Amino acid sequence: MVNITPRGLLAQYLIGAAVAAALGTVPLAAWLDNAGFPDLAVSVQAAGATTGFDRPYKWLHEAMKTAETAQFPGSR
Amino acid sequence: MLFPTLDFLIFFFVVVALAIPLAGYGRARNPMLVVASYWFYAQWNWRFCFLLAGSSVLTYLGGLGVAAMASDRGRRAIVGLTVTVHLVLLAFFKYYDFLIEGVNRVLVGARTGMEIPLVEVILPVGISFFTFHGISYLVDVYRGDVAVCRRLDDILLYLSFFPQLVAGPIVRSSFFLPQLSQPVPATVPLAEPVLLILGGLFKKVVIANYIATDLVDPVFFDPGRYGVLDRLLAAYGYAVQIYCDFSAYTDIAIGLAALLGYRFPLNFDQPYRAHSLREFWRRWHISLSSWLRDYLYRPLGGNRGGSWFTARNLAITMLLGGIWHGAALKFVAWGALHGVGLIVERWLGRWSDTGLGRFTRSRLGRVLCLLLVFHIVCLSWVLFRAANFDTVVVYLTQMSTEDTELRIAPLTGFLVVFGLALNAVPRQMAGRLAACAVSWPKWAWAVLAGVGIAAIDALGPDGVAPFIYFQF
Repeated sequence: MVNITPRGLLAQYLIGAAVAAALGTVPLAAWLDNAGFPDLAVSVQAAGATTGFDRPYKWLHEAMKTAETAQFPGSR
Repeated sequence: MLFPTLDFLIFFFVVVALAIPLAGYGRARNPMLVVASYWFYAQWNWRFCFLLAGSSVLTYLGGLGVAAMASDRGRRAIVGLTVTVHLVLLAFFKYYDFLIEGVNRVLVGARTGMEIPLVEVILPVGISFFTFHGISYLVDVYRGDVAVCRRLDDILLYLSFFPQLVAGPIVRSSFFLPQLSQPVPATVPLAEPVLLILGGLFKKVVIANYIATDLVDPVFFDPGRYGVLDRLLAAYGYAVQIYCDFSAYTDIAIGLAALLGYRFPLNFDQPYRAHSLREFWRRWHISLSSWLRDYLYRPLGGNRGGSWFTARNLAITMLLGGIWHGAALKFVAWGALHGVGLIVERWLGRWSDTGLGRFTRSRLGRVLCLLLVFHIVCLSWVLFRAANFDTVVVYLTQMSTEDTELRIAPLTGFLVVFGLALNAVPRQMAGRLAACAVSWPKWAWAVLAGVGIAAIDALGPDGVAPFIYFQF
């Protein structure tokens, strides 16, 4: 059993959030834009593109979109 | 505020951060959790916070009143009164418009020239769940199953605790209240909650959402446009969608509560591997089915008065369980189907020592029973999901059309199969996975959570659909 103190949980929470934010710059930028921070949203999006951290997210998203639109052979 | 959103991620971070300095001060954390829970609830409609608070105060005072009464008659009167007020409130919000429409139809038919104006009552999110919490506490105090709670903040938290506030699980007071009086644990589990939350997010955001948007919603919107295979797959799809949606909510709720140091009971136990309807109800929404058993079926007399009496009690319990979901014929039919199924099962139980009984216990018999129960449940889900009874008729009666062309995407079909396969995963999977990774450093769990959340968001369709059980 992996146990953690409340203080340790907060630290790990920050690490997890940082990883999610780094890999999820696309949804984070959309959220910031929606929350009324368009300039910050542009910066986050640019950071994701510059570092290349947004690539796995975009790749997964596109792969799923492609899979969603695929049809069985012969179907309308 | 929905669990799979960034808003909730920030909210929960604040709760975790506030919980740290309060951890060393006994019960000081409980009022903070009450405030956080009310803030969470206010994100839907702040006005209903007063309803939640009123329901909690009623429960608190009712419990004190029951404990203060010396005579059983007095205790019974108080518990009866408070439970009735709870039920009247629930009925008002859930059935007022339906009842007024019925009354108006009678008034118009009688040519009285009168009509009661409709109010269009908004259903408060989670009203059923906090009402059930309140009723179970009052009845448990009356029965002596739980000690009366003399702290208002404990009752406020019991009814409003945000992980389970809007869609359960229904946590019994005898299970939860003792946890509030214990000291805050020095450590909380990390691995199991992280796996439960990630698994729940995947089930909701990826499986349930895709199946809903690409298969179930279009087919149920206009079933006449789709062929027999599509409708059959949509029925299976809804079985998977509602399971993945609802069990995801409770998995996340259990995980969040565990990270705050509280235990919640199991609410789903791979329901589609049930070999009988009775077993299905022991695996599906366990906290509600056990609530109906303990606070409705058994007080009605349960199975203590012969087969007809038992059948009557089963029918009443399942019909009321159906009507609880909404004032509509389709929900009555849903409850009736399960009620009749349970009655027939009990009746067939008389032949358990005959060849039929032995066959149902054989390997082939068990597989056939599993398939039969699954398809009865799927049929009941068609009743449950359809917009109205007319749609149900179209959905089921056109099953024999010759249009067998499949219009759905392979991805959706795969997700339906994957969702069903989750019912065959060995039990305690999260616990075993966590045990395998016990040597991982804690930061590895944090990285896993971060990567998992980003990946699930990327895999899911755009937008976040509310959980199905929010409407009940």
